[in-house]
Amino acid sequence: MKKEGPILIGFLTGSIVITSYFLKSTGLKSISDTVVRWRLIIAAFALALGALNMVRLHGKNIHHKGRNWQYSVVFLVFFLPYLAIGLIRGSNSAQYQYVWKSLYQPASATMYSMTLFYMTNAVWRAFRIRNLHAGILMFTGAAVMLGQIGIGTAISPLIPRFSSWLLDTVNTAGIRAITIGGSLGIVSLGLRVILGLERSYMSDGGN
Amino acid sequence: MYKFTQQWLIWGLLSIVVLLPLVKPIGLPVGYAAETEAAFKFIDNLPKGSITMMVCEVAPSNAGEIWPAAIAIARHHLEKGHKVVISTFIPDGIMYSLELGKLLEKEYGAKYGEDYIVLPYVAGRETALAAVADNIRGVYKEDQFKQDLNNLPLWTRIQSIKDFAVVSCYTSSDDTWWLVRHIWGKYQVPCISSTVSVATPDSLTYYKNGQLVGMLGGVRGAAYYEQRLGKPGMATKSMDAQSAGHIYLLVLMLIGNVSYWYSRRSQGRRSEG
Amino acid sequence: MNPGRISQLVFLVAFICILFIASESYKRTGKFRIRRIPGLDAIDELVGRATEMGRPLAFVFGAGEMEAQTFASLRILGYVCEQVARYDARLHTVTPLPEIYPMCLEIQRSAYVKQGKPQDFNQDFVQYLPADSSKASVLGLFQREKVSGVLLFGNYYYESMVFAEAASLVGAATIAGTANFHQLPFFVAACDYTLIGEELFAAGVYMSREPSEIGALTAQEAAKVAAVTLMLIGAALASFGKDSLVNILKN
Repeated sequence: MKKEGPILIGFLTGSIVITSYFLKSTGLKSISDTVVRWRLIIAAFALALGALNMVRLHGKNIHHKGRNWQYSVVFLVFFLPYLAIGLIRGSNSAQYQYVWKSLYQPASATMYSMTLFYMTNAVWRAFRIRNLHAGILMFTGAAVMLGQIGIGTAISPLIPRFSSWLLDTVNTAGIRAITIGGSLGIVSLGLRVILGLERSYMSDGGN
Repeated sequence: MYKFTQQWLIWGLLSIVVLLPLVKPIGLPVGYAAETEAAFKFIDNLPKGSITMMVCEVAPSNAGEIWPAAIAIARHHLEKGHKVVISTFIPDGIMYSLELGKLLEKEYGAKYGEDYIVLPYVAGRETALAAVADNIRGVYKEDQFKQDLNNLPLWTRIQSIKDFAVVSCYTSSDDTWWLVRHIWGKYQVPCISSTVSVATPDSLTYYKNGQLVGMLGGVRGAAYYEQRLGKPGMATKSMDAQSAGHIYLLVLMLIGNVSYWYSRRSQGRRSEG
Repeated sequence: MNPGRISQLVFLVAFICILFIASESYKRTGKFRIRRIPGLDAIDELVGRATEMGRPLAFVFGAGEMEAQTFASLRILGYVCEQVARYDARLHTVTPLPEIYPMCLEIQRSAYVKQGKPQDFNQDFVQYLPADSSKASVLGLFQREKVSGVLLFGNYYYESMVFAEAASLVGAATIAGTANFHQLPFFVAACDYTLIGEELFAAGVYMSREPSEIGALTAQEAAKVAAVTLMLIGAALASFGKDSLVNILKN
């Protein structure tokens, strides 16, 4: 049953949603909508499961005085009160928003900003004309970057035109090809899950 | 040690190059963006009283790029007398949805429930968006403030996704694709997408296909929209910093290649010698 | 029948038929050819390198939502775990998706059981880290553990560049794979090997040669040929001002 259960659920729910997409039936659509809403509930539960795992992991680390256990203390000191505020006062409350705006927002924005530093490193390290491919990559990258900013137009009106051509023609063609290939991959994997052929997500690979 | 110094020099210079224009704006030109112009014109031509949905997938990480676009389009909607329903499918998005509502109240005297509504966060990302497209009333029963949605006058005008004149989305994720699949693909409701710069090339393909009526690509798109609206804001200010950053990266590419070729030449000479 | 979806249904039915026919044909003949995918071949090297150096590997999932790419990545994780268990290497698995945390745990556990080393499995090596905080934690993990190799698979967004460069800074070899084309240029520029788009979905066939997977890949290829043919015919007809093909597909 450990194997058959998930396969059966996958088959039933997947078939209902797909069939309701093709068939004009109000009853079937209503069942399909319900199935889709179950997924939303599962997603919400998964968040709670993830949070529990974090608490377990860090709690265990503190208990066993594991490596860098002090950081686990810091984590729990911030995590638990914030969770409590969210659960008791709700996300609309001034307290929740205060913590969010003073701690979470700047920390999260900082993480994203760091991308620029890593990107700069990559530009320095990777954009070397070692061969023809690397040369094309660098040349087109530079043209698109220049085309995206006003100064490109100031240097020559041909730059934004060339940049647009790269984006509209070369890039679009490439993206469409990858999209078609990737989408077919998604269709194939989705069908395999629904038909119970894909079992890699099960504990023993379905064997 | 050399590598360490070199890395910090590159990063230090980058910080200066990006920060300086923010402190002292240069006013570099933004340039024409046809896809953003299309989005502007589409919203501008919507009749007064049209109901619109803004999918606010803004998080602190992507806010620098797409939050100005959300503000510019929200302002445009209110200026044209449109009604706005704000939704989100990421936990952080709710903070920005509330912020957007406050801004509309402050700047345009918008009334909650009549001019705009903030819907709560729904987990499930694409599935959630698909569920909203298929049966919006089945997904939402209450608003973000736990009020029964049926008590809000604006909500009584909405029965399905087809009641929206346009759905716009602000995202650094695959929401553009989801909009195209579930909202445009299934129900032919016009969609506009505002994405971060890296996602612009692929979102552009949907605009070119006619599956999006317009799009705003990164800070540049938002800056163009702000200027078109006659309300320069955060994006216009950030454009200088972005332009300076691009130029710095280009210079870095150039120096990197010159030094690479120089070192290869020296190596070649040494091996010949 | 919902209007405008007949052609899609025909496509779906044809896809399923080809999947089963190809799968049965492989069962009978055992014949199937797939081109080399260097990124997947390099996984074994990466595990070998980790064992020799005595430094761990890291497998990090993308922070985008759980979808087909995630399933394909789980398949790769299964293979990596088996190799890691076989050669007594160490592997840190990080997922920003709470939904797949139990799956990662079970995949890793079963890999050790399969190799007869259940006692070596340590569930602390599988971590769920929420999307935004995972970035800092993963960077910390790379630095502290001085990982020898990093595998970045799944639904990736801006963290692609951050992780790939951070791995390079600690001297780790990197293999990445995503179908998110906006991140592909970053992976291609910064990683040693990159699985582009559908290569990620072909990984299962490449590593296991399971008949149903071969069937699915064959159906995929057939659909691709059909798509290209339709595109060519459509373009030719459109050039002569005829939109009959478009009208058929609209049904």
